[in-house]
Formats: sequence, C-alpha cells, structure tokens
Amino acid sequence: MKAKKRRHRLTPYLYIAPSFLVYLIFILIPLACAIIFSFTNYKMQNLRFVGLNNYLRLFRDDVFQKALLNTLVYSFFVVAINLVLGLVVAAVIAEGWFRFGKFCRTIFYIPYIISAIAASMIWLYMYDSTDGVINHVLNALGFMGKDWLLDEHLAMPCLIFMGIWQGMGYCLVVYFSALQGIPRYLYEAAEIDGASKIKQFFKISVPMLSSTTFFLLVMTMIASFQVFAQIITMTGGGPLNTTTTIAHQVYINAFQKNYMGYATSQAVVLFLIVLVITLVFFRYGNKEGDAELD
Amino acid sequence: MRSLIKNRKRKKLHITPSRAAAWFLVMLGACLVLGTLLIALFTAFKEPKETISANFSILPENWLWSNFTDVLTSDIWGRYFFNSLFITITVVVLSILLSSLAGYAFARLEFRGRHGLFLLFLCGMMVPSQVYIIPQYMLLKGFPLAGGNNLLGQGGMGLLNTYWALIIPFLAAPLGVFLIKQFYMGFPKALDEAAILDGCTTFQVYTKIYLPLSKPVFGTFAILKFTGTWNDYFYPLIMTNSKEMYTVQIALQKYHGEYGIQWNYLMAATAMTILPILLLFIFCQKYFTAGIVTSGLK
Amino acid sequence: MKKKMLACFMASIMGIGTLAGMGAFAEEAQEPVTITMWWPGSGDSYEALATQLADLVHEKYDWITVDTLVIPWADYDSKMNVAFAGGTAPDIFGVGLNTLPTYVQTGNLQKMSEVLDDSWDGWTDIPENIQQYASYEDAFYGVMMCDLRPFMWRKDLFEAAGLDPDTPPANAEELFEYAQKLTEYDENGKVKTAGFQIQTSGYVDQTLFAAMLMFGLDEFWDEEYNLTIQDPKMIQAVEYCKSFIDEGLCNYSEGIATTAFSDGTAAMTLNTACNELGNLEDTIGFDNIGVAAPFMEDQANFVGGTIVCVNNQAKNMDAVMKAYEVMTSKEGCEICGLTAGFCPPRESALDAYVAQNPDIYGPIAEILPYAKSYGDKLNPCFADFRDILKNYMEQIYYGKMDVEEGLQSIVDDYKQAQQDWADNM
Repeated sequence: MKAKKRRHRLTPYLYIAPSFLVYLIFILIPLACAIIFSFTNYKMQNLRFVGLNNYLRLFRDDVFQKALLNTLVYSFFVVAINLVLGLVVAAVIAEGWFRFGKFCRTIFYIPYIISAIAASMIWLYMYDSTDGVINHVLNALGFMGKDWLLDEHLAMPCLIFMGIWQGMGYCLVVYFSALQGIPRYLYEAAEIDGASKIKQFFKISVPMLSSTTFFLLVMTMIASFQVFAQIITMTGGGPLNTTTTIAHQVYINAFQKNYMGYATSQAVVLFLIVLVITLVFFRYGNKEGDAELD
Repeated sequence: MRSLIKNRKRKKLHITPSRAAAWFLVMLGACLVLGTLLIALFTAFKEPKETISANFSILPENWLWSNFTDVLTSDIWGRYFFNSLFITITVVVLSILLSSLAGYAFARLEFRGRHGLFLLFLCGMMVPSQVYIIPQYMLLKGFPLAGGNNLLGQGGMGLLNTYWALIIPFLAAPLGVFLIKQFYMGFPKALDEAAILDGCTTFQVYTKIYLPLSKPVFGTFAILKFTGTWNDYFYPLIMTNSKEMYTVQIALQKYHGEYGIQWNYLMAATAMTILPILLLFIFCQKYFTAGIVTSGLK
Repeated sequence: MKKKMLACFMASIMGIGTLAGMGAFAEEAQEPVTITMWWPGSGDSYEALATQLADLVHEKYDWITVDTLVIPWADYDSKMNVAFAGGTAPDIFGVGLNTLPTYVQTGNLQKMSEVLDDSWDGWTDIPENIQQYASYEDAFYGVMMCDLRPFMWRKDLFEAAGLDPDTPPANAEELFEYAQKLTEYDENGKVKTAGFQIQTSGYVDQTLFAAMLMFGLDEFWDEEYNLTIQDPKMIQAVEYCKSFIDEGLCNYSEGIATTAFSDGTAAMTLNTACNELGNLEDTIGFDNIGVAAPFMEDQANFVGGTIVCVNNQAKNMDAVMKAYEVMTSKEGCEICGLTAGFCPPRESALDAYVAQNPDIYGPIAEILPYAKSYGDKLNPCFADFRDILKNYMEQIYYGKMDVEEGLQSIVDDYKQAQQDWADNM
C-alpha cells in the first residue's frame, strides 16, 4: 500500500522528467552560469568578481534606460494589437461561411515564417524615404512622403506596425484551433435564445478562450520583449536611440563592445521584468484558476 | 456529434451587412499582407540593377527564373536542406512527445512543486539566448564521452558540430508544454474520473483518452515548433564548424554582406527556404478543424 | 556574378584534383597536416577567396590541407568570441581592423613580429601605414587585406546635371557646389537623389572623418587615446556635414550597411568601400562610375580591412606559419583582390589588381600608401567610441544639440567609457 502510494507520487515527475532534464542541462544550467557572469567583468579571458558594479552602471546608462522604455512601449502595443486582431480575425474565419478562410489564414501566417532579414528587407522597401512603396502611394494621392524609419517620432510606430504584420498570424492560428475546441451546442443554445453573433463572441468565445488568451499573452509578451533582429537590420537602434531595445543593447554590449558581464546584467534586468509581468498575469490573468501558483 | 458539425457547416447563412463588412475588412488585411509578400517575391526575379532602391519598381522588367537556379547551383543547398529538414523534423516529432507528456502532468496530475517547475520552464525563455551561448558552448564541448571526449569531458570537441548539438537542447519546448497543458486543461475532468473508475492507470488515461484527441494541438504546436527550429540562425551558426553542418538559415546569410545585400538572390533563396514550412502549414490546416468532439461533457 | 560562380566552381574542381594528386606523392611528403581558417564575409566571392587561398597553400605544400569556413560577416565576432572562450578557435582567421585590440585582449593572437624574421618580404613590400594599422601595442599582427575608400561619382548623373563627367570636384567647396547641382527632388520637394550623402545614423564616423580630412584634422584620437575633436577644424568639419542636411541636399540616411551611393540614390561618395565595386558593376555598371583619389590633402581617406591573423594556440605552428606565408604572399594577396575586391596590401600584387580595369582600380591602388586610420594607434575602446559618436552626431544632425555642446558630450562620455573599460580589465 505504501509502495503504491509512493509510486503514485513519483509518476507525475516521471512524465516531466524527459523534458525537464534536457531543459535543465542545456538551458537552465548555462543560464545560471550566465547570471553569475553579471557579477563579474567577464571579457572572455580574465574573470574577476566586481560585485554589483554592472548593475550600478545600468543606472547611469542613458541609452539603456531609453532601451527599457522603448521595449515596454513596443511590447505593449505589439502584444495588445496582435491578440485583439488575431482573435477577431480568427473568429470571423471560424464562422465557417467565410469564403477564402483557409487562404487568408495561410496568407496571414506567412510573415511569421519568413526569416527576420527577409522580413526586414520587405519593410525597408516599404518604408524607404526616397523610393519606398508607401511614399509612392502617398505621392500618388497627393501627400508628401515621410522619412519613416529616419524620423524620431515615426520609427517606433513603424517597427510596431511591422511587429503586428509579423506576429498576428501566430495569434490567429492558435486562436483558430482553440475556437474549434469550443462545444458547438453553446452557440446553438445561444442562437435559440436569440443572441447576436457579437454577443455570442463576447459571452461565449472570449471566456471560453481565456486559457488560450493567457497562453498567447505570456508567449507573445516574452517574445516581443526580446525583439532585436529587425532593429539591427532596419534601424540599428536609431534615430536618436528611439528604437533601441534591451535585447539590442545586450547584443551590442556582449559581442560588439565585449562587455559580457555588463550585457548579462542587462539581460537579468530584462528577465526580472518579464518574470514579474508573467507572475502578475498568472495571479490575475486566469479567472478560472487553472494556472494559479501555489 | 460529428454529423451535427457538418450539418452546421453546410447550412446556408445569410449575408448580413455586418458579415459583409467583416469579410471585407479581413480580405483587405489579407490583401495588404499578400501585397507586401508579393513585392518581396517579385524581387526574386529581378536583375541586380533593379534591386537598388533608385531603380525601384514593383514588377521585374524581365522575369529571371535563373536567379533560382543560380542560387541552387552556387552552393551545396541540397546538403543545407537535408540538415535543416533532418534537424527540424527530429526536433518536432520528439518534442511533441516529450511536451505532451509533461503538459499532461502539469494539466492533470497533482504533485508538489507543480507550479514552481512550470514557471521554471518559462524562465528559460525570458532571457535572450545570446547571453548564455558561451556556457552552452562549453557544455556541449565538454560533454562526457562524446566526440572524442573522456569521462571528464576533456580531449575532444564533444557534441559540437554534430546533429546532437542542434537537436537535443530543443527537445524540451516550454512553448509546447504550455500550449498542450492549456489545451488539456480544457478537457472535461469527468473523462479521467470515469476511466480511472474503470481501472485505468494515469498513463492509460493519457494514451487512451488524451493522445487520440490531441491532433489539433499537436498540429498547431508542430507548425510553431517547425517554424522556430527551421528559422533558428544564431545557435546553429555558433555550434557548427563546417559547411557540411550548416543549415539553410546560415546559408541565406551569404547574400547579406558587409557592403550590401544581393536582394534578388536573397529573396529567391528565402522563397525556397519557406516552402517546406508553407507546405507543412497547408497540410496541418486540416487538423486545426478536427475539433474536440468530446464537448457534451464539459 | 556568373563569372564569380564559375571561378568558384573551377576552384573547387581544382581542389579535388590536387587532393587526388596528393595520394600519389605521399611517400616523399611530410606527415599530412590539416589546419583551419575562418574568414568573415558573405557571398560567393568570399567562398572563392577562401577556397583559392586553401588551394594555393596545398599546391605549394601538398602535405598541408586548409579547411576553410566563411562565416556570415555580421556574426563573425560573436562566433570568434565564443570559439576563443571554448578554446576551439581556428589556426588562421581574419580580424577587422578596428576590432584588432579587442581580439588581442583575448590573448589568442600570435604576435607576427615575433615569428616573421627580417628576411620576410612583407616588411618591404607592404606600405608602412598598412603595417602600422595592423599593429597594436608595438606588435604587428598580420597582413591586412585593405578596404579603401576612393572618391567615386556617377558619370551619368554628372552629365545630366551639366557637369563634366570626367572632372570630379577638387576641394570641399566644389564638392558642396557639385552637390547643389546634382541633388534631385521629387514633385513634393523631397530629395530623390542626393548629391553627396552624409551618414546621419549608423556609421556616422565615415563621412565625418572624410570631412575632417578636408579641413586638415587627420585623427579622432591622439597617441594617448585622448579625443582630439575639440578643435576649431572639427567644428568646421561638423558644420560642413550639417550644412548638407540643413540645405536639403540629402535625406537623413539609414544606419544599415549599404551606402546611398551603392543604392543609386547619391551621385558622389567618399565612404563606399572598394570591395563594393563588384556589386556596383552589376547594379550601376562601370560605364557610369568614375573613380579618383580623394581630393583631400595627401589623397588620404580612411581605411578598413581584414587582418589575416594566427592563433597562438595553434597545434602545428610550423605548418600554420608556412600556410600563412603562402596566403599572404603576392599570389595570396592577388587572390584577395581578384575575388572579394580587397585592395592587395603588397605593392607587388597591385599590378594584377589594377589590370582588371585600370580606370576603376588604378586610382585605388594609388591611394594605398596614403590611407589613414582614425588614429595613429588602434583604439581599444573603439566600439564605445563609435557608439558615443553616433549618439551625439545624430543629436547634432537632427538639430537637438549645437555642435560644440555635442562635441563636449562626446568627450565626456568617452572618458567615462575609458574608465569603465579600465575597470573591466
């Protein structure tokens, strides 16, 4: 009896073990080592502990503070808009009567699968100050073109727009497959009660999708906090540092300036911010209580 | 139940103004996205002189299919595609298995430290991976008994420059565990309880009830994981030391030079590299609509 | 482009041929040795460079095989850093000019001045300035394949603007006047083609340094690594650059790699690398391009390049040095010039380079001995410097800060960076 009970207690861990061990060895342990670097002057060779120096340096690094703010702005808009648009489009397509539904879904997903450099290239063509597509269209309509990526006020919105273009398909695909899991009879009952489609959407789809929303919220938030490939290829963080992000700064400090220790301390700050936001989501984001913490 | 869904689909719906508006807006969005993609695709057919921004036009002057053949013959693309496909397919298949096991445990089984462990899974994703690439590299190099290493991990190159290095670390997928966990939590608990009353073990519950109903989530996860692994560039670049181990994403970078970008070749190569994902996506779409038809119980 | 691919293909066939040949003469050769070489670059031309260098070594010493790997330029430093940390760095590798000090600090670079004796022909064949810029803290680290910046202009646009397509401007004032004539606007008055593009983001240092040379200031920092930019000449140079933007002669420019000239949106340039000529031949055509020595004093302009370095941890140092000498010999330098467009650093190799097209490559070969780096010594804080300079030059160009205030802030921030750098040692 006792043995059986113990086995029962052990089973869940056995289910998790294969994933977790791989993850522990190849991701978490290297990550822990890297966090130790943030308390050193690690520059590939001589390693010396410097206490909290790297963290103190963050406070007088104006560019880092700008990067922090930019990252928050970028993530907020990209996550919020992607989730809302993804859900609405998924709901429209999932209605079933919609012609070209599959086709649209595929089209919306393609931006997510092309590499960052190719995506950046497309948007460099679109945003180009002299010969960009957008400026051509504006000119044809009689408006003056803008210096999209080179204007301090427009560069960030341009990147956010591109982030939506890239990420919306992801939300759409996940929402779409989750929508299929909602029992049909709920809608049928609502229809009999005379509820409008919009009411059904808010009263049935949205609540039933809360666990998917929660998943997407956490995942897209984590991903958007690490945006940097398009920044390196499209703006290099400029103009006037209006588009630099934490991950971009981490990369520059680690591999261009060779301040591995300092770069890691920046990454740790990024980690803490994302962790806190994730915990807040876990605490308040899941009304059904299906993902609360101990 | 299944027939009911089918009936519902066949039922003719009236085109109301709000439906038409929704249809129009979604189509407009899709056309915009399609437009941007086509601009990129057309570039793949251009001559070099048409790719610089001073000579920009949407359509190529002459449709140069030779850009594609030039790209393919200029390098060992067959090998790159094989590497990428082999790595990606192995990672996707194995990580689906591992993640669904873990996802099931997190969703349905009670155990100590459940939430802490789950959060730990997510933590690894919250730091840009460049930060820990050096310790990761040392770990792979010093992996005991691999690649000429002794028990203490000395003497050889370890797992570096092997398929193992590009596969094993990605088998654990926090994204998959999370996605599958959320999916399984939507299953009615009554199902498990009934099965356990019938004398099933938890593992039987998993294999008999959960696995067969997992097609939609596996399809979704397969696509996301395939995309992520296929598009990974920095990690394979650092962990490989020979052209024979390069993946398509590394090969793509050859058109992005210090002094400029060969747009026509880059886009031709990009178009070819997204084909496998596109095909997989189209193939997996049917699983999205498979639906969970266990609904009546929830 | 096709020619290059053909060359690459031929080279690999030849490689297989020589490999097959090796077996036959194995008995009289030494123990076979394989050494590794990494080179930063992208594209078939760099692949050709690497294979041809490897074949050259193998031809000369059939017992040495060179395994080459061309690594995407953008992430080359990252990969090298990781490889140094893991002790898996290759035997021979390229290092960018301005990053040399950081590489030296990893402790992995062989001081070539210690292993190459006085009889090495490079000491006399390579111009002094190029030797100097491949050195750090009095040690010479290798032969630098050079990336020079001549004055280039668009003959077709000159003609369209009513200028003589064979006469480039002769001084700063003329450059400005020409730019006024060459700049084209669209119907809304936005610049369509700039006469001369000032870099306002990214590598702002390049056009700025060219302007500094015009006004007689030839370094960013002195022997002690103190910035020399609080100088009336510097203020003139910055004001000069800014006047192009203020007068509407160019747009703000993107921080990405391609220069406006290569993109066809500028008529004249001082910051387009000679390595780009291969691409320019395909996109703009040599008929439309004029190349001349820069009009600045001594025909000087800034230089970049890839220094061929040796790993001091290399296992078969003897074989590595033998291969190194072949790779950096006259023939090796010629290969670098003919494949990837580097200006060969050896005077003996320049003939073959110029012979490709004397009108285009002749002026480049001419300016090799006058090319200048940003200071007489390479700066260990260069990455910091470039970043700080970019931050404040952007502020100046975007009109957020006046010139003197900006220069003062650069000096202040740079001192702080030097302090941080010293603290991190």
